[in-house]
Amino acid sequence: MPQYALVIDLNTCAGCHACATNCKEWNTQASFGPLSDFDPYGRNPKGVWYNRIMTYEMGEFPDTQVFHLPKSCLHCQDAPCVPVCPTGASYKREQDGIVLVNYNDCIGCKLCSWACPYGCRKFDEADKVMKKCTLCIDRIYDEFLPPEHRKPACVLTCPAKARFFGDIEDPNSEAYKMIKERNGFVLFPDMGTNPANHYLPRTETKVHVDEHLLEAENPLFLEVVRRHYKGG
Amino acid sequence: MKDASTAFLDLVFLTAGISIGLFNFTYFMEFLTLFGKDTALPKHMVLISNVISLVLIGLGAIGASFHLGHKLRAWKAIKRFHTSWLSREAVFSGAYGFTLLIFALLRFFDHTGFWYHFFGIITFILWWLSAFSTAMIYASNRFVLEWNTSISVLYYLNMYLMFGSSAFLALTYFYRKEFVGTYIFLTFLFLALGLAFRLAFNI
Repeated sequence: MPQYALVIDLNTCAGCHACATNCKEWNTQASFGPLSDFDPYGRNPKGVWYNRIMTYEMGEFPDTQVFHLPKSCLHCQDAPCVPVCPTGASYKREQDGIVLVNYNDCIGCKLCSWACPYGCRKFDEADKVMKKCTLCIDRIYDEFLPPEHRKPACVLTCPAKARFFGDIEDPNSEAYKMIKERNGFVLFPDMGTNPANHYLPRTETKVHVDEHLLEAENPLFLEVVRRHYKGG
Repeated sequence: MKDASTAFLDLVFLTAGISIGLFNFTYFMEFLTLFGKDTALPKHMVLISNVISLVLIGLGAIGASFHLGHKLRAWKAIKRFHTSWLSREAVFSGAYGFTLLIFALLRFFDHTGFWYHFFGIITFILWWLSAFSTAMIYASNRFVLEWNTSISVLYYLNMYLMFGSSAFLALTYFYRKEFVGTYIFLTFLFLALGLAFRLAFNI
């Protein structure tokens, strides 16, 4: 059975939030929109975002590293949000494995958000229904778009090319190859949800740096070079 | 500070809990008469108990709708009975209210024979199923470890019995004083069990 999913390269993601912004823009104007915003420029902005980027700092100062984890619905193959829905509004499509919400059937009980261990469901206070990433289903099947544009908005916009999209069950797809070649992993594999979205792990880059480069005057540059210095 | 939806959930548990707990003890006493026990309740006591239960389950249903985004679509919650505990709760609690109404009408018209006990037993089973389904909404969530235990189910059922025995105690004071001692004991037993669960399992 086909299973469309995102594959996100944590090694390349720069945490620029372009994916989240373009996701918001596309889904606000397209078939599943609008996405509500309350007090967007005020002290306590609230709203619906399908895609969030969480930024973490690891290590002890001064040897710290920052990494970014973009997270949207993982389109789990054993999605726990689907069976708990009392109306059947949450469902998983057989033809592509995408988990969707039928807004006409959703009663807004929020039980699916309790059941999702990844916190990927957002209640829209304006429409009073639960919303989530659709993998831009209104783009990927749109025959009026050129074939190279039939991808989720977040994938198309990523300036670092850190996001890939495809059928993770198809050995010929780019997503499948990325996962196999670069040891793709999923979030919380022990929870039994079998997420479709995969992440490519961060790898530490060691480069050879000539000794004279370590004498640079810029202390920030020196810090970066020292961190990656492997020896002369 | 609790938000509005949490306060409504408390209201639902309180109203539904008293309703089904009160019916539990009311019918239990009537049921014992089938075995020759002198536990028959006066007609007024049964009717007052049933009216309280019906009003409270109705208030519980209204209170439950307050945490829904679309209240008028609440009926759709019956559609996924085969997978969703919330759907099962909606079906069982709705059926409980309906059979309870028939039970009360039978008592009102003094039909205390086969059908009276038939609907009493059906209503009794439905309340257990309703309470079990409510508890399973929480107990089946395997990602909240504090809830994901069979203790959650026992705790809920005990809570309903605690509410019910307390309410029934108040009625026995007015109509069957000889049972006051028994129900004081039962009320404190269920209360003590609830506290014990709370302390032992931190739920």
